[in-house]
Amino acid sequence: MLSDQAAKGFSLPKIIRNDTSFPLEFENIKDAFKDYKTAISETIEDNLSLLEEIPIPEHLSIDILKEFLRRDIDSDLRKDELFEKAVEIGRYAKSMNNSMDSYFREIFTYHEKLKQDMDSKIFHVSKMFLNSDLPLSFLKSIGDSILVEKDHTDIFDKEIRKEWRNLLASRSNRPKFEKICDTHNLWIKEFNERQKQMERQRVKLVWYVDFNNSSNIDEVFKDKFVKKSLLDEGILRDLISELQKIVQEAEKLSMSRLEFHPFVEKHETESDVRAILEIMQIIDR
Amino acid sequence: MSFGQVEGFFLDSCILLPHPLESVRKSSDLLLKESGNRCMICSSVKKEAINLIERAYTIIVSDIRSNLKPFLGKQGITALTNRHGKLLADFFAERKKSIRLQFPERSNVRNEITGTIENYVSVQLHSMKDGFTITPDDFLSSLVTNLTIIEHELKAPFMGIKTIDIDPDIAITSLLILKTLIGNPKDVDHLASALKYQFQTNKWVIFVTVDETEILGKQNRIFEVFALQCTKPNWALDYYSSMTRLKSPIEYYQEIHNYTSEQKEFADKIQKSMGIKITS
Repeated sequence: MLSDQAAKGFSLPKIIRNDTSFPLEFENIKDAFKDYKTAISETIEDNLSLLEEIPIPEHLSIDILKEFLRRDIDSDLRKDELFEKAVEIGRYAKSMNNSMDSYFREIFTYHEKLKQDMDSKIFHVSKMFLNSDLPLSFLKSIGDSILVEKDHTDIFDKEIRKEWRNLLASRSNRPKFEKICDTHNLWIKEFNERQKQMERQRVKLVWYVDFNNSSNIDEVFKDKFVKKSLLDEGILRDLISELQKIVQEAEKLSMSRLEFHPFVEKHETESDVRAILEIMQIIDR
Repeated sequence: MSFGQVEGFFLDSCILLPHPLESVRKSSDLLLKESGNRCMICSSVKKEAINLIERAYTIIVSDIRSNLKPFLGKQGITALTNRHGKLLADFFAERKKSIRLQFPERSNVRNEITGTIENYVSVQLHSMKDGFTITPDDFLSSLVTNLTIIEHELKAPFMGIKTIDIDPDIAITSLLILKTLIGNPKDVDHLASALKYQFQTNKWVIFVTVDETEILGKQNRIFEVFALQCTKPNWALDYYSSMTRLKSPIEYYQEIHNYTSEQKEFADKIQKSMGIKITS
């Protein structure tokens, strides 16, 4: 049961956090370290840019909505321990010569918490779906996008463990050390691009559905019954299918690195698994 | 003349899904752990499995939203505990009754599905600790969250394993049905795909399944006529070793003495559909 997820205060996937990309550098010489405040303001602007990519309902003033989002995102990010941790890890990643130990001390715990946060996001999207007459594809596309991101995090952990050993062995050999960082940056680039695309599209979909079901600014992001009739069917379908397309591409990418493994044994006796398998058997007869 | 041409294992979907019998589950897991890199599935197996998993998931989640949620809403319960079992039992009893009235002739499948969902919900409800309360909304959202995660995990092995994109030939599938009397057309498609791949690549493949009724019970006949080896996961590696000592599939078939009429018919179909001559 995920019953405790609701109490943890996590929420819908309603903000782009862009917090999973940590390109490694031997030492930071190109630009100044991004401080926490700068990271917040950049992330807010990044989020606000989404408003240009979705139709905003006429009854919500764009200026008021922008102002609301600016405050809401700012407040969410300031409360968000994961975001803060991501900024910190980003700094370590940019000066691996000095901060390699700190980087590896933090990254795995951060990913564990990030994965819990992802489960919690599915919980909140499930809740939104249950309190709506939205098509199941709404829940599925967002759920799949989050779960593919979770797979990417697992891949990242697996790969970075190998790289860690190599970095340790090459600590006193700068060219080799830098080469390992470059190789790392090369393969994570594509993953990060896909993840950013998924996250943007997911947030766009949530925003479109939520804004159009809010009769005024006070209802934005609040619990409510979501009606399909308040949405343009074509726009909803396009937003969902675009997300599904991006998810499929991200899935293909993860397949190239995800080691094949049979269904995890821990689930063998879980009732969720049994329920799905039993119904599969019934409908297959 | 070539020996040792075994491409690997063509898996049936049951090998990649958790099996209720522990012994079967263990033998499948062992094969996958030891020889995962030699395992593959044909596109028809992947399509069937993914489709079934998604349909089952859709049925449960849609049922939770359309029936269980409105029911709990109507009851006006604000906090659900593990003591609400009776209430849910009454709900499911009422649902089954209404299914019988609505669909008197075809109520079995619907009732079985409802029964499965009932079991699932009851296990989830009773797994809550004494004194623990949860809103009905959070309870149902938790169920949907878990199901969404499990659906993804069930699909994962089918996405991660090497998939052979191959369409079975109608001529071969028809012959398989006729000569083996396998009733499930999907099983026939999987076997026909494996066969086609085997003769296209001229390398042996071993079809691994736990389906005793449709496939394993007929494995000797399938090998005799179609030269396709089927086996349980338990013996898959043994077959693999023994088949490395055989000549390649085409040469093997060409060297059969005194073809039966069924073998001739099969060879003829292969030649017509794939342009490969497998008789001497």
